[in-house]
Amino acid sequence: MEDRFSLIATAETPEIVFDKSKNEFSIKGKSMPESAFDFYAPVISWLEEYKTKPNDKTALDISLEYFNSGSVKQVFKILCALEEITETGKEAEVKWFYKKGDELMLSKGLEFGKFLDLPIEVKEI
Amino acid sequence: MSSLSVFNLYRILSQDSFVLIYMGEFDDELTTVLMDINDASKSEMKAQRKKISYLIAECFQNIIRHSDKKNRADISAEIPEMFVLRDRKKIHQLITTNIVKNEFVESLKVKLNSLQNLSAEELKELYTQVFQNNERTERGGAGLGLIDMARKSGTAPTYEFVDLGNGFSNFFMQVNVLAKDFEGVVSEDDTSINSALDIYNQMTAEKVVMAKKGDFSQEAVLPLIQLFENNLNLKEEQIGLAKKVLYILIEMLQNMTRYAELQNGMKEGIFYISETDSKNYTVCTGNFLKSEQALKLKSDLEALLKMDKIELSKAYKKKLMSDEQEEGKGAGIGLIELCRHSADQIIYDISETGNGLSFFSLKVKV
Repeated sequence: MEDRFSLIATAETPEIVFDKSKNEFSIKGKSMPESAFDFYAPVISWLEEYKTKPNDKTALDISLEYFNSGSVKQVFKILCALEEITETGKEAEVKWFYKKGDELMLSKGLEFGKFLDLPIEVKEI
Repeated sequence: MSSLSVFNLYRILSQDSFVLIYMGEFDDELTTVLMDINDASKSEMKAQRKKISYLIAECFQNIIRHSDKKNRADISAEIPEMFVLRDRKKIHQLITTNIVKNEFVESLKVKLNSLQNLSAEELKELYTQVFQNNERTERGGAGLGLIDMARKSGTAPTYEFVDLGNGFSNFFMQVNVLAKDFEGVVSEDDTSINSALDIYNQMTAEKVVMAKKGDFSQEAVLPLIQLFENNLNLKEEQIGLAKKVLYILIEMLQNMTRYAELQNGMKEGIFYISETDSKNYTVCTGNFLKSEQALKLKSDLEALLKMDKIELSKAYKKKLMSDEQEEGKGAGIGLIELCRHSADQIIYDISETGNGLSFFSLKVKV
């Protein structure tokens, strides 16, 4: 497994940084690829590997401007992988950023918190 | 227009391979997005990309520069301005509307009439003449900008004034660009502005902000979202509503990207978004599907429409957690999200169009 997985942002996809050695994990920007499944597949397969040897504490920052429903599902899958990390005794947490007034993004963060056994902190920016 | 409105609009524009209608906020920064939309279109206008881009900028800036909107407090809000780009195969058209004071109508007519019946050659000559002498004011003829538009398009713009009362008129101008392979003589029918007036009336009745007919591939959808987002920013729309509208808009446009049946070599469809009132927008899409696919969509939708908010949330959670392999069964997550976030019940309609195809219309209020 590569120590670092990263993608730069495009008009339709977010910037993604998953860096094991720097212990930095973030997803930032817009996410509306035509096929969210295809776009997130390498991210999720990297995480599947990472899950087997995670850092003691994994903190993921998610700051999305907007997304399509396909991306919501894939982001949820990423959070599921983090939830599984917590089941192995290691720590994992998420900071879910939303712009002030963006009720949709806030509700998505809260909803994920309800669906998962994973600390998700929603933060207004 | 009824719930079937999008199919009506499709029929009105049936001869056009590409149409973009914009009636939102007007600002210089939108011109580049409009050019992106033209670039991403699969229309023949691409062959004349440079020329069309130039004309888009000129026409759009004319709306911004010449509008008397600020001076007409009493009627301002109800009378939107419009920018249209159409590909009518033989001819490409750029249509603008402007509110002007009646006192300017006569001089505008004189300027525009001075260009009528001039050939492409004569327009070129006139341009050089006026350019060299810079004698626009003395002659009372058309200004350099106007002549240049006519010269670039190869034929004079057509126009119409519609009296609005209170001393103002709506000035319609249509720049007609001959297609690259255009042969023969330009007829009055080719350059008639009548259908532009029809479009304007339909769009204002429905309070449309933006509409498009043509290709809905991902490349074509992205600049549309950009244009609408810029409009929301210019309007300083409340962020809560803006984000929700964008979510639904993206969903519905990408539904066409994914499912629209190929027609004329593209993911053909039509969409419009209207500002229903100060708190709601309505997004409407229409595209062709194989009839059996349309029926499946119908039964998926019917099942969702029977659910209340809690049942919809449950269905959403189930889809969120399900494996992709099971995706084919029942409504997809996108359709559930449309139902969850719509302010009213979703309206849909299916019209069989022959050849095993159906036209599927969907209307969602946010």
